[in-house]
Amino acid sequence: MTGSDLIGIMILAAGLFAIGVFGVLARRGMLFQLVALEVALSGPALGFIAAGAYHADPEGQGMFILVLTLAATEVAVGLALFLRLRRLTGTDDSDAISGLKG
Amino acid sequence: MAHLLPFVPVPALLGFVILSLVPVPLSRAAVIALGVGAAVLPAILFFPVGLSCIEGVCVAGAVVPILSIDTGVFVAQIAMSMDPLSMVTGGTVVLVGALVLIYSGAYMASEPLPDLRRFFAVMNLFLAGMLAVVFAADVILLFLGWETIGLCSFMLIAFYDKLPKAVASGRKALITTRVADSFLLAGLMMLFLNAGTTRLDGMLAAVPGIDPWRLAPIAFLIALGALGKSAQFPFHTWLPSAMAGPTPVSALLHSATMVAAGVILLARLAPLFAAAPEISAMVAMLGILTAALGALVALIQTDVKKLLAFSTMSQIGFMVLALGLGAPAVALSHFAIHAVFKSLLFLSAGVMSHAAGGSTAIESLRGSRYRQPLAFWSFAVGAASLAGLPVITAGWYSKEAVLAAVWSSGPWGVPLWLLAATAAVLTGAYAFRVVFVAASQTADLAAPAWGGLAVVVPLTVLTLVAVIGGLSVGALIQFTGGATVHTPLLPTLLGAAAPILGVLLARQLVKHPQELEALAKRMRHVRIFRFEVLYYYYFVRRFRRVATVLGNAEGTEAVADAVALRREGVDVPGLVTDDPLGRGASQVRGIRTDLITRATDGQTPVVRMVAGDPVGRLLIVVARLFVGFFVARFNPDRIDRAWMGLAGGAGHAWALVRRTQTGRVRDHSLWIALGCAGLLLFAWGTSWR
Repeated sequence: MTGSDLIGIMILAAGLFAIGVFGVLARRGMLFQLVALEVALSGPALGFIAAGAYHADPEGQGMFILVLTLAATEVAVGLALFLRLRRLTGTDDSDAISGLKG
Repeated sequence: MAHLLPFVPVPALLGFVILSLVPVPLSRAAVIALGVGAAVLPAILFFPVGLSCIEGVCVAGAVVPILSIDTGVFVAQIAMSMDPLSMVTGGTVVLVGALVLIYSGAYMASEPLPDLRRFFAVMNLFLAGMLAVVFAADVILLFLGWETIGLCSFMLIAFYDKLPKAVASGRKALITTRVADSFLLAGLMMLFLNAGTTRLDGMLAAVPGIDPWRLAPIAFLIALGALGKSAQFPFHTWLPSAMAGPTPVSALLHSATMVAAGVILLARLAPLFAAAPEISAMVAMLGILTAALGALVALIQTDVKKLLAFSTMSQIGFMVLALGLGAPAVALSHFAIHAVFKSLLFLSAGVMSHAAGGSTAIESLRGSRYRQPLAFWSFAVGAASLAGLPVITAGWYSKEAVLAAVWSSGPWGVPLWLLAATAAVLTGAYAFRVVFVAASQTADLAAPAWGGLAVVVPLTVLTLVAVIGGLSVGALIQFTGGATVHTPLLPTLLGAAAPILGVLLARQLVKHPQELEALAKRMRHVRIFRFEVLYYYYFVRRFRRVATVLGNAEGTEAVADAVALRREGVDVPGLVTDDPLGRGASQVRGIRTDLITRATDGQTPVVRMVAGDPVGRLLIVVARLFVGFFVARFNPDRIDRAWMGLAGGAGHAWALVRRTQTGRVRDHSLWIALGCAGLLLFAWGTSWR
């Protein structure tokens, strides 16, 4: 893997992360926000893989497994929150819970 | 015995895991035994470790490594330190933690079983997290423990989850400390970027090599994080409402240990702050401000737990002051003594209010001396230690050490000392106000039986330590590496007189409660710490009075007419009567009824006085010219209007900022993302080589 490949993949990873963050900010449906969070997480994961491959270092893949674990826990918490939201408000609109409104 | 140290928090963590995660129904006795046992075991495990200190194992920099993570670029080492600092704080935490958990075994016994299990699980997790904070020798373990105790604080404040107020208080505490924690995380990360290691000793060793302009923001961010956790001004708002939790929680988390975590962190990073003197000065200023205001506000509280909460704020302010002045050893000794007497106060107040039918109002404690003699006397001992009654209490020795450190801290020492001594007088007053009320006689002396060994043992042990612990203060300070400061006789004597004066003041206040009420009425703007009101009250009003006297506006026709118009409901801006408290109007009216004013209508009073005296007249004309050209410009119309606009602008700014809090998940995500991006940019900019 050459340096220009690495830069290309890093730009791709940054783009994935940006798409994910945009999804979280733009969607109101909580399920879609969770999906967007997963997309956002895949960006850094790709970055780790690419950096590991570039430096010929297996720790990049190790970090990828860590990111997978993180994503799994995040989905567990997110789905629990989603269930609470459905039970409390009867909708999946995340704007419906605004208890922190000033 | 050093290898035992990493196992000290383990029983508490195991207690949490068993109580919260193991899906086996446990009986009430088993839950209490597990919860209390998991908190007592760390104390037993710590005992040999602490004893080994006598053999001289605990020197500055002694570290017990746990594991290292080799990431290729650098090695992240997880380790626990065995230096004097962690021994003193760790000893305090295990002692107070064990005693409070023993007490809560009795206090919480009547809760429903699931709630009881949740309570002990979270208390054990808290104890494990707190021990991780005090023993941590690297920032990873430190931050892990730091976040754990913040989470436990939230769950325990909101323990009575059927009460909306408790949940709201927990949320307030969580969000306030979260904001501070993000500052701390940013500061620690920038310190890591500059030092290249996660070990605290390595970071501190790298401090002299960091540019001052990089060091100052790091110290600033870390100080903000520590002050947020310690409920210091301007993050102080969460602590009083945190009293919505059960009393043992207030005794352990919100007085003795968790809120002092900021003090521990600042003491551990003392060399970093010594290298950033401007940040240290800021920390000291915020500390003395919180100490003085907290004591003032505690004086007018009507709820004993709220009073103790403000007192905690104030006492931690003393510690933060000592830290800001570069005396971490003194701050730590005050931390240890404060943890003992403040948990004693909370525990005995819990017993007294239980006997008073569960009410925590100070008035309802009346007669506690006859209902619950043990609790009353231990409360009195705790209050004496809090006030710092000379010679006989432990609180005196540690507070005297703080005052001595303040006195000998350079050119600002004496004014700061005066402020601190005033706060000490107020401390004596508010502490003994409760004692005097509780000691008074009342008709209703029906005492519900509540006591037993689980109450007697913690109260007795803590009382003993609160009295004889004073003998250890000098040793503690020397052990943690500080030099005992010898102050001149005068400040020592004055410092000893301060608490006695406070007690006399308390006697007076209890005898004449209406004086306190009048004070409370006058202080309603202090209680809420509202800037614009404070600013108006102390600056604008005074300035206006001076401007009125100088401008000689009081007796003039225009003012009198304006007052008359105002009384009819016509709006006339720009006069003395703009005072929203309505004091100016009555003064002006008084002058209007003057007989001479009617006789020589249209003349100002001063001109009237010198009628027929050419020399005096000349002087007056010059003075009038001076007033016309110079002083009149400072009349209520221009400058203080601008200042008032500034003060009022704070309110408008608040209204504007409030609107950005939409409560929507999306908008909050946006702010979090922007904040992260900003912090990353800042870190990149300051660590760029």
